[in-house]
Amino acid sequence: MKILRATFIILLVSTVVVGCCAIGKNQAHQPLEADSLDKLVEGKTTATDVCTIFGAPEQVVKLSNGNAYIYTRSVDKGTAVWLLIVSFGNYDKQDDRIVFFFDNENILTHYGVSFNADKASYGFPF
Amino acid sequence: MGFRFNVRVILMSVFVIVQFFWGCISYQFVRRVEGTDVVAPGDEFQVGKTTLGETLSLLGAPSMLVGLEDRDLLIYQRAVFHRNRLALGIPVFEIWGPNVDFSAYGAQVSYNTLTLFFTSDRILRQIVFEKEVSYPHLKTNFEKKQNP
Repeated sequence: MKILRATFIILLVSTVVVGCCAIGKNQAHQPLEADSLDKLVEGKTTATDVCTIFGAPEQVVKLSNGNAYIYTRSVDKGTAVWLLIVSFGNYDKQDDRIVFFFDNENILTHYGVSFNADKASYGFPF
Repeated sequence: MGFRFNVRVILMSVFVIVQFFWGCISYQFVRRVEGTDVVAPGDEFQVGKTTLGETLSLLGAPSMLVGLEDRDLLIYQRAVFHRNRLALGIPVFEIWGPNVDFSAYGAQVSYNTLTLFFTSDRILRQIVFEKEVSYPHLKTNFEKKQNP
C-alpha cells in the first residue's frame, strides 16, 4: 500500500513540475569599448581612424551631406515558463549602439552613443 | 476511512484530468521587447533651431538612420510584440490519422517611434512621434475599427 501511495505521489508531482522553466541569452558582436571614444575629436578624426579603433562598421549609411557608420552590439534574454496547460514567454532585446557622422571629406562631425545592452533582463511577460 | 477514500479519489481524479488535458488544451502568452522606451519630445526640440549634435547628446544613437536626397531621418524606436494562443486538440494520432486540433491566436506588434528629420545642414526640420505601445493588446486585436 505504501509503495502504491509513493508511486502515485511521484506521478502526481512529476506531472506538475515537468518542463517548469527555461532561460536563455544571446549576444551579437563584441562589446563596444566606451573608453575608446576619448580618442575621437570631432572635426579632426577621420573615418579611417574610426575603423582603426572600432573595426569594420556593421552598417554604412549614405546621408544627404556625408556618411554615417553604425556599430551595434545586442544582448537578447529570454524566459519561458510552463505551468501545466499554460505557458509564458518573455524576450528582451537591447543594444549598445554608436553612430558616427562624417562629412563629405570623411571627417567626423558628430557621434551618438547608446549603451543599453546591459539593461536586457529576464522576467515575466506581464 | 471514508475521508481518506475521498481524498484518494479526488487526487486520482485531478491526476486523470491533468493527464487527459495535457496536450489537449494549452494557452500561450508571449511578449517580446526590442529597444528602450521612446518618449515624446519636449520643448528642447525646436524645428529650425535644434542641431544634430544637440539631438544626439539628448537621445543618444538612433535605432535607424535613413539618408534622403535633401534630408536625413533619425529614427528612435521601441517595439513590443504580444501573442496570445489558445489551442484545443484531441491527440488521437496514435489510433486514427491526424489529430483534431483547433487553435486561435492573436499577435500584435506595437511601436513607439520618434522620427526626426534634419536638413543637409543638420538642423531639425520636422518631428513625428507615434505612440502605439500603450494601446491595449486584446482590445486592439478584437476592435473592428475601419480606416476612413
